[in-house]
Amino acid sequence: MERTPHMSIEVLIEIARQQGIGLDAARALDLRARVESLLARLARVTDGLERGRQPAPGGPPRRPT
Amino acid sequence: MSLPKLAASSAADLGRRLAHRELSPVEVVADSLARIERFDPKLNSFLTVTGESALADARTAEAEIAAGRHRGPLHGVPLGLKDIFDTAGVRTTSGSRILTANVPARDAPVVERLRAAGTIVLGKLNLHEFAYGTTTTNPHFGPCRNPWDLDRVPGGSSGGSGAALAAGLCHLSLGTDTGGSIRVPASVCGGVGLKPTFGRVPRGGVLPLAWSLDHVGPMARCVEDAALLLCAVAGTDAGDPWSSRDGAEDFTADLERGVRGLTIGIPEPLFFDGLEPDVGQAVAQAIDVLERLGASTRRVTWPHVDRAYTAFHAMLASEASAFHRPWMGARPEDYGADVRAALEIGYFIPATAYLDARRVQLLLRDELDMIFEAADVLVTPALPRTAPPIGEPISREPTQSWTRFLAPFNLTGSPAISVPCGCDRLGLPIGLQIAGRPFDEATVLRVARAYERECGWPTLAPMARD
Repeated sequence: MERTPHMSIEVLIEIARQQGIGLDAARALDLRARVESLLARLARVTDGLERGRQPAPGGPPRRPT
Repeated sequence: MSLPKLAASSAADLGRRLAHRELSPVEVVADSLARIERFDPKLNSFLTVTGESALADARTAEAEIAAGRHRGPLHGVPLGLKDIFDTAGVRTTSGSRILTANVPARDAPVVERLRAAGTIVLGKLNLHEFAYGTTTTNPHFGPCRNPWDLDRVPGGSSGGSGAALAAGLCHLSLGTDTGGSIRVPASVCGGVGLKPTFGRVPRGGVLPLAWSLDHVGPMARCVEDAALLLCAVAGTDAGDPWSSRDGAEDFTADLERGVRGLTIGIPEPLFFDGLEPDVGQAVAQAIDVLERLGASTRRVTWPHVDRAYTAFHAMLASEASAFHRPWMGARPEDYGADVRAALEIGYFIPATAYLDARRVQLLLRDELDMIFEAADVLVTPALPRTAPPIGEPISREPTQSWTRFLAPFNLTGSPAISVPCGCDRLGLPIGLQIAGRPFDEATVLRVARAYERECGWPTLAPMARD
């Protein structure tokens, strides 16, 4: 089975830096597995979803009719 | 009346006796303060006790009631507030080091409403730091402990509220729930916690965790008290752009109508997977009780609910990290380790993934609307387990998170309550979740009350009953 390459630690640190968040190499290493796990799950979250489905609007849910 | 008996009274019962001047608010508040002094060194549920102002407010309430100026069913009843609600002149820490010295100039609108209803604020309650977690093992103010077993967590993030209620330190509390933070402590501390419909209770003056998922709601020791507290705080407010336009309602009107004629949906998949055996047994017995009381039950399928937790996690992490970005940039070392780690992940979620999560949110709302055409409420376990020991790692992975049955209703914005449904073999409380249609808190409360009236599980922890 082909193994997905890990995100680069340097890229993680740079993405954080651009948002004003300091991240050293040790923290980035610790974070990488969690980020990859969440992104992998998110990549599948819309599997099979109709293309026309829109995001939920902000605010309270609809009242039942 | 002796101390334990007073502490065990419901807020509704206290309110009735206060109205008839059988009790004085001063006596009731003094009793709560004495219990805080006696029990809280073991529990660490209060971060701030406002004893002097509580007694002053109690004297005012006493004079008002004596003069015939009765404010309603909660006049003179003491409560505790999760320390995330702004309180004028009283520090509001959100359980953080960053806001240790924060003293708001004015009350949050919900706190104004509680004062207008005549309730008396005893103080501010411990919580998971910034409400971002489910244990209330707070690194800055110390862990809050579960009165049912002091070596276990009281849940969170509103853990101080759950613990203080279970120990009889207060009669009511107001909490917040972004992914279960009212229902987790209610479940593991044997209390009642209601997450109302999104927008039902305004959130101005409440530190946000995730704007799209945050709810304010009542915590209590019985269903009637939760309904009364909801009556006091519900209703539109211009300060919260996502507040619903509804006015106040009487959520107590249908409480005693019973469940005959109602259809209870038992949802699948997800909600009955991976349960501790005692939890599964207690929930099955609770469903049997509701059937015996005249409800019919049916299995219902929620097709994509297995995606709820991932969508929820993406929204929670993105929004929380956006809110905390200035502090995370300037003083990250002032966060506790778990909250800092949870916040860091949010900076790596692309906007496309966030929007996909919101698409799933609408899908789940639509699917739940369909389910509620065939069922009046859904009944599930609140949690797959009872309270874990303090220090046990808590997973945020979707299949293992102990809030996986709760967060779907934060996404849909539907009302959901946790009520006690028994104890496990260690004597730890188990919670039953009842969820309903948007803005139909009345039916959720009605089902919860019917079950409570039939079974009546004790809600004061053994340590607090002597």
